[in-house]
Amino acid sequence: MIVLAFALSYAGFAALCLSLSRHHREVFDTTPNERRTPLLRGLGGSALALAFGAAIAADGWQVGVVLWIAVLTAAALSTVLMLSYAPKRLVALASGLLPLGLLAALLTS
Amino acid sequence: MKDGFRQCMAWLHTWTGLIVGWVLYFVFVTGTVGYFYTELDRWMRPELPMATPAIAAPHAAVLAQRRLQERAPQAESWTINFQGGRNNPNLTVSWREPRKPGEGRRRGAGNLEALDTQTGEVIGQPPRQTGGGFTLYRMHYQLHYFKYETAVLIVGFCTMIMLVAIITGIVTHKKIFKDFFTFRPAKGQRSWLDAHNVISVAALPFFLMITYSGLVFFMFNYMPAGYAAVYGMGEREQFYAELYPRKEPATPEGSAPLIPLSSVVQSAEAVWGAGQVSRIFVQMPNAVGARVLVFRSEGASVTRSERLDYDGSSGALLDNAETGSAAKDTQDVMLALHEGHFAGPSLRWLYFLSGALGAAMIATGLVLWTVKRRPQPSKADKTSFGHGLVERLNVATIAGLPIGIAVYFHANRLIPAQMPERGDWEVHALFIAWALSFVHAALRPTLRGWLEQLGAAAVLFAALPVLNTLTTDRHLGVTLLHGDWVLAGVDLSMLALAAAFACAALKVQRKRKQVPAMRRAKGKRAAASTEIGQETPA
Repeated sequence: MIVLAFALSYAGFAALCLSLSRHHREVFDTTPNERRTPLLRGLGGSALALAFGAAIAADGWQVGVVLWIAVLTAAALSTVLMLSYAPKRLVALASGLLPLGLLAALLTS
Repeated sequence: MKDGFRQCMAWLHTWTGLIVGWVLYFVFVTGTVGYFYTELDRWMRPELPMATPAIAAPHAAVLAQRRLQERAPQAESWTINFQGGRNNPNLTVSWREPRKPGEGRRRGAGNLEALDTQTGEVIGQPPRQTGGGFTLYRMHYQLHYFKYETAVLIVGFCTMIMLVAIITGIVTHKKIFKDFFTFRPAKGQRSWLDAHNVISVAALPFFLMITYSGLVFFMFNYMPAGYAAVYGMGEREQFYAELYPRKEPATPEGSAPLIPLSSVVQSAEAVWGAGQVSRIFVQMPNAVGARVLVFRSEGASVTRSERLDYDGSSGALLDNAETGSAAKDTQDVMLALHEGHFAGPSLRWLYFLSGALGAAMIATGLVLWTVKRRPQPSKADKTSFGHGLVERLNVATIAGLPIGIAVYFHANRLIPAQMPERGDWEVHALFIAWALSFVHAALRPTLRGWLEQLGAAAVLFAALPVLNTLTTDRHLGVTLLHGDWVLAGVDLSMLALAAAFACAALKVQRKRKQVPAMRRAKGKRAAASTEIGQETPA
């Protein structure tokens, strides 16, 4: 469940990152069009909210809040590192982590 | 003064950060390392046995009570630590000898034994005397070589200034959302600023929490006016006595057999659930008025330990409810968040990451200060005294303190186990090594100082698992096979740290190679020559 929380947080931050035109250009070599930016922001925010749910599911209401914040820190840093050192693989990592997180959550619940 | 609110805050951020940065780096490093103090305690006592097969707590209580009754029936107190969690792979018992009349309470004067869970026999040898990881942890608020009250005031002062630094940092950071993901490597000053910003923002909730809650620990030291108005200045002990009524047991009036502790454990497990008992503390065993305190395993909620008190002769549950209040509960949560005892394995590592990021935030800020103010190589000025001082303090603190900590662990393995006061000398070794790094930093040109100290840190940490192999039988070859992940984890973490320092040293070496080429190009244009040994990279 913690892996899922991290996967969702990373995907959320990746989406939010791509909603900024400078970073979108670094990853895709094009600027996002008018529809993409709010879509990415919405997806990103939703993913972070779902990560909150996963964290609560993992450790309960009290510890889960702390876990969510800590996972967000790790996910934010991971996004920055990917963007700086492997921008073309930013999205691929999210696509890989999400099924991994879902699998881990299903196997351990 | 500066015009404009933001410039004013920027000035404040720079100077508050600089003045307390080195002390706070020490606090963050010792605090972050000390977060694993129980693990390090075990690593620094290699005589203790590795994990033994787990058994249920009621049965363990039988074995423990039998051993304690045989070994220390007249002890002032007994402690039984059950297996479970990261702290206790073994069933351990300890006891405190009765105090002679007129003697104060001796800190740490206890005896510790680990018991085999099949037979109840004592296993392992008496562990060497050491401050362990606990001493490192305690240094982060108590420093060392200082009187307790003085150290707490120093750390508190620096922490309050850190709060100012954090808040002014937030105010000054103009594009805090737009630049959330911005990190441009290999661009000199810009990269250092980006790194400082990204690190600070990514763990900002943690930094605000850890700083503020740290102050809450000693709030009556820092803001005494409240209790002083009621009790008088300096009468803190009486205030605490009323706030946290401690039912000190009276002197024993006679002997009475202690009830079987296994029944107490079963009673507690009926309330909390099986496997939830982590520790038992018995006051005045075998006396009238004996009391059995049962502690719950942590992790259920963000509070500090839950506890059930039982009468030692009758087994009746005693009322231990302290007068609760919203203020006390709030404080309790804040302190629990700071200490992070409730955290499970994954969250524990995330806490560690956040603490390390705190040290990195301070380090990048200190380096940024020097990079921003380096005189241009084309100018004839030497670096000013203040700038040179900060550069050298940076090297000696940021790279030198890890060297000291590595030497602390080396000392644990190298100082003979039988030597008296060896625990004190382990700590002296830490500070001697750290002091030498100040001397080294003063004598070397800056970049070479960085290279040599980072390299030394890498070598020292990498050598620890090797030294472990040569001096004990708790090295990776044994611990990995046995599945003792705590002990193996310490060795592996040392290797990871060594790798990190080695990477940093390589980066400095690459920078050093760049500098002579740049200086040659600029030196041809400039009339003045830079002093030999002075390296001022752009």
